[in-house]
Amino acid sequence: MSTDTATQPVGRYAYDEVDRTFLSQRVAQFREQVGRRVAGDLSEDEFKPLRLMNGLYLQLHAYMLRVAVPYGMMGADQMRELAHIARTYDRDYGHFTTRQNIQFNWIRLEDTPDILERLAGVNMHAIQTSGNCIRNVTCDEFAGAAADELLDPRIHAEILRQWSTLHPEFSFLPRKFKIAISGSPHDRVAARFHDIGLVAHPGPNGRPVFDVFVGGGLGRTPIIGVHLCHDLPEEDLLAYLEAVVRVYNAYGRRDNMYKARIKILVQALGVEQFREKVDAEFAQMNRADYRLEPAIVEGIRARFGIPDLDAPADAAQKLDSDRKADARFDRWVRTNTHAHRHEGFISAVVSIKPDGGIPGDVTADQMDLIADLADEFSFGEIRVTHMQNVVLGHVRKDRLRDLWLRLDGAGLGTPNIGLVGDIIACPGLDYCALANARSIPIAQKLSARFANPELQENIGTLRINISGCINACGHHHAGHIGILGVDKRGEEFFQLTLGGSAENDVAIGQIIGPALPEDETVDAIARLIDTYLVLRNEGEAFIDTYRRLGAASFKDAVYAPA
Amino acid sequence: MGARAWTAHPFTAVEAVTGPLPEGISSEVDVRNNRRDMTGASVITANRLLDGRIVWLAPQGWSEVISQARVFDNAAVEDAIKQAKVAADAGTVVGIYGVQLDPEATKITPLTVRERIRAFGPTVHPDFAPVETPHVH
Amino acid sequence: MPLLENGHVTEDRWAQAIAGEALPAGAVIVPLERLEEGLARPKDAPLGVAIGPDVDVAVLRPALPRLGLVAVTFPSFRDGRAFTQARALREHLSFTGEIRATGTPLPDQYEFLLRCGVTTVQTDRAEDVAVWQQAHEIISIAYQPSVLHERPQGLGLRRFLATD
Repeated sequence: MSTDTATQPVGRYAYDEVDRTFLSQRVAQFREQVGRRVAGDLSEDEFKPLRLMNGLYLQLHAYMLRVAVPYGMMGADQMRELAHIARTYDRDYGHFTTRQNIQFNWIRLEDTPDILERLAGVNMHAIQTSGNCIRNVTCDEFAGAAADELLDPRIHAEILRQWSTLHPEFSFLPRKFKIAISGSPHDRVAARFHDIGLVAHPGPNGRPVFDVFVGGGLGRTPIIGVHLCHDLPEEDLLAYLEAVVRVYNAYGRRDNMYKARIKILVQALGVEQFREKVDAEFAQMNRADYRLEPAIVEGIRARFGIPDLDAPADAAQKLDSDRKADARFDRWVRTNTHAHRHEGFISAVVSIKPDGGIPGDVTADQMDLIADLADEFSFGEIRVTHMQNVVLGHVRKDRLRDLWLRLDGAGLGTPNIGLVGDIIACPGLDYCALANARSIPIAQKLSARFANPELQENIGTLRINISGCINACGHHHAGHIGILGVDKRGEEFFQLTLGGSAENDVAIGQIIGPALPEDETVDAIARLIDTYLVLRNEGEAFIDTYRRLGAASFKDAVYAPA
Repeated sequence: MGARAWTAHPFTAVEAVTGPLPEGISSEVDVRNNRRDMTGASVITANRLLDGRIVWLAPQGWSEVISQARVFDNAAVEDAIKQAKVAADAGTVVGIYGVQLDPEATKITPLTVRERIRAFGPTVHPDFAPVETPHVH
Repeated sequence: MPLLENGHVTEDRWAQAIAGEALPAGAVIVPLERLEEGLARPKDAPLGVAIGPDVDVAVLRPALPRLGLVAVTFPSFRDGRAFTQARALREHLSFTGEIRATGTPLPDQYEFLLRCGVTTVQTDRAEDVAVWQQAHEIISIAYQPSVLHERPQGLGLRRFLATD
């Protein structure tokens, strides 16, 4: 086993021959399953969960393949392969999702085994990106780089990825199961909107301990997760998660799919009774079998490449002078970067939300460019964020302007991270078989209307989330302004929610009133923002003004006669 | 899709009240696929198994373009759906159902936004609209 | 499909209890409601019990020493509760007898069944046994412990699966 972390891929787990054998076996298995489906030996009903557990949906226009980007981390070589797949098997583009994955919209079933084989060639897969199983574990997009981080959560995210892969007991749960993990006191993973949210920090003996939240989620019943366990020791992490998921598998509802998520079980039992069941299961388990020894963790950690962070002493000074010399660059640095733990480095956020564009869509050429820039500027490491953007985690401060010039030249330099234009939107009715209304056109109109960067910066932090149906893939309940598409007799309407947040100040947005027709929605939101600009105190963000004044102050603006 | 403004339409048949069903949990049919007027006309649609592409039941076989679709009076469409589901080529498609047409449109045009997007492609990508091909599958 | 044991067809030595009739003398599987009746037979008469997916297997604890078989069931292949029941029988109750999966599990779930402690499968599905055998052999690596106690391979929790 190699422990040479300098030659291994930075920020993610290095596959070995055993892992590659597993992936190729999984591809062969799916090829055989497709064969049985086409031959008629499997019905669509039977085949569906098998293809879903390989990331393949049947959407509105075609099959959609969701490729896993474990904890949002990938390498330049992997991004180039995704570009190749976009060109060869799709229509020259892909779409980054809020679970840090990427999906292709125009896939053919008959090509899918070949696509999965190509992915396996770069140690990628689509395993458990759908289905009633444990999904891709999400993570802080600034993991291993952020100045405020207490420990790097990616090692444990990888351990959870491996543990949950083809888990024999938990592949046919009542419903899907989502886990997020953070190692920072600042919640960037929406830990309390997950089936299980883990917040890690160093424990007394130097090993990590975990705060465990359970039963959060959005969807048609938005619920903030409850605190289930305080300072869970690392060695018990897998045993405890086994106990939680086992209680869910045994007792979660299967009679009504809308009440099948763990959040409903936790609410029905109450947190005390739920905890009793978990504790009883945990107490009975043969914990030695599940113990996560430090040696196991360190074995996985040794397969993560570590960036050689070496910057000239004047790197920060150089960045300061670059910023003073170029106001546009300065603005982009203000909005699109994040503080790094090393004083000579910075994390750069590449906005995949161009003004008037489709949030999260990236062309094959852009994928290739991002791959090249990652190689040149950030140790070949690329991160996909739950906001549907891309992060280059470790950029030398003295080279940041060079990076920005290249991004800006390719239309990837939009300075809007965390602002009005940084809209989270699900694919909506333009692609999705479940959607009731289109999400993308609303996002496009809003971001075009607020394209002016001065205006956006003046408005300040504002999270707009759009979902095309109640399943809430656009996390509308967690948006400062949430937009939910509803179907009224085959027509599109949009319901607005205000005051949601997925961060430390977690809250569920509240419906402000009746749904609006499509052609009135963007104007109503513009009036809402105008009202905020009038009502706000000096330096007050939209969410804080809303919390200070309440919905009543905004309702008139939304329903003002056109 | 067409430029005509979309106006509310009173469906007399069953309507979507619970919303869409996520894939992978239930074999139930999306209720939106069953809503039709008592009167008027419909076409029959599905997705092709091998490539997932949307197809429309044509006089012979399934076509990729709705303009080739065979139009059924709603009084006859349920029987036609049943026949399509047991036809020799039923195994080559997935999810057969009927789609209510807009009685005011000059061309074959579905009534709902959803079905118009299925028929004419994603509104955010006019370049991906289905194109006429000479052969019918 | 005939009774399947570890990927091979095997002879079924168990009879099913017939509703409304007295239990036969030999090896018999009774529904949970008739467990007392089964236990009242001579102690050397082989006894099995069939449970629904909503049963907490802990209720079998007093009877387990007398049971040679527990049948768990999949009313639909999507209902995964029997996986947890089987694993709890092995891990919590140390049951060493036959665990039989009934109902309609898919061959594609076979390895999951085995790793949760199921030993035999009795299903009405039409596939050839070879499809089940292939489902058992196609993947040779797992990433988590199971009741089969496969030997860890060295990295993480990874282990090689037996494919015979």
